[in-house]
Amino acid sequence: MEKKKITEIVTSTVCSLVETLPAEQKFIVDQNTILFGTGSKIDSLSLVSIIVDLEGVFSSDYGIDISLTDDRAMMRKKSPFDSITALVDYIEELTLEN
Amino acid sequence: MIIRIVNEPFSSNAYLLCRESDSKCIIIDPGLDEVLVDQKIIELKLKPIAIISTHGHFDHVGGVSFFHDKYSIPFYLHIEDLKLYKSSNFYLKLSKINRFIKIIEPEFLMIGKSQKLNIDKFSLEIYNYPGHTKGSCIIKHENNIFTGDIVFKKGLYLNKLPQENAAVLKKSIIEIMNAFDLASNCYPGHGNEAVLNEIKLTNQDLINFISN
Repeated sequence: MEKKKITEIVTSTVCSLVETLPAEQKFIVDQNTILFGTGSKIDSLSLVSIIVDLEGVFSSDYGIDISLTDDRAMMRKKSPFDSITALVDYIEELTLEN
Repeated sequence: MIIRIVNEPFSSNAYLLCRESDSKCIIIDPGLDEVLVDQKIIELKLKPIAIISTHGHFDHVGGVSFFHDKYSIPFYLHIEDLKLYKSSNFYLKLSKINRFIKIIEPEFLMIGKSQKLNIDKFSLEIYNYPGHTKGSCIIKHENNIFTGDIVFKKGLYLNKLPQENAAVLKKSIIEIMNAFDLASNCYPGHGNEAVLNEIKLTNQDLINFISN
């Protein structure tokens, strides 16, 4: 799967989440948006929703089973949740193996 | 004999299901206080023979690898919660708990709606009741049921995580109330034990939840 497509899916999933937030909590999503940790505007439950949605989309729409929260993800030097770019890179890595 | 050990930081119950004749025991839901649970095992000179978790949340599986490695005993988990179990370290981090637990491959993955397990001389029945998580199970031994985070003496345990499905949980609870002997002793994943009928009649949160 092309990186551009992965970026599109991830960005659209995060944007969908942002749309559900109250006006004062909305923010602009870009490649540097932090998903988890210091500076993140996304709460824990929302992050879990994003991850579950993404795993679901890749599985149901593209037949690619990925796990974004297992120890492989957690033990990476650069966390997949540092930014949208980092998550896209990680998903690309997983899809290439699939 | 059933021994309850409350594990912090989420006050989750770990249980030791023991047979007094030979001191063998099954560890149910070892949480994050594995040392405390092990102290009880040592104090009572018990011989663990297996680990079973009612579901895959980290407060019910956090101590699995410790006992698995120390006593060389198998781990049983419902297959529907395998992915959740393998995400334990993610959820620990999300909960701001500074722990990294070792994840092992369960030796036995329970499948389907119900299963009979004979572990040594323990005859257990495992029933999958989804809702809290997809792989949440009730473990039945004689007239005792270990209900995990499905049924409690008081209150409900709704966490709003995406794995939770309130409609499915409601259906499961109604089924449980009809499927099991109401005189069963109920050992929940949090809080005190109670007879199932007492829960059915007095747990107002649960009554409201299944009535609406």
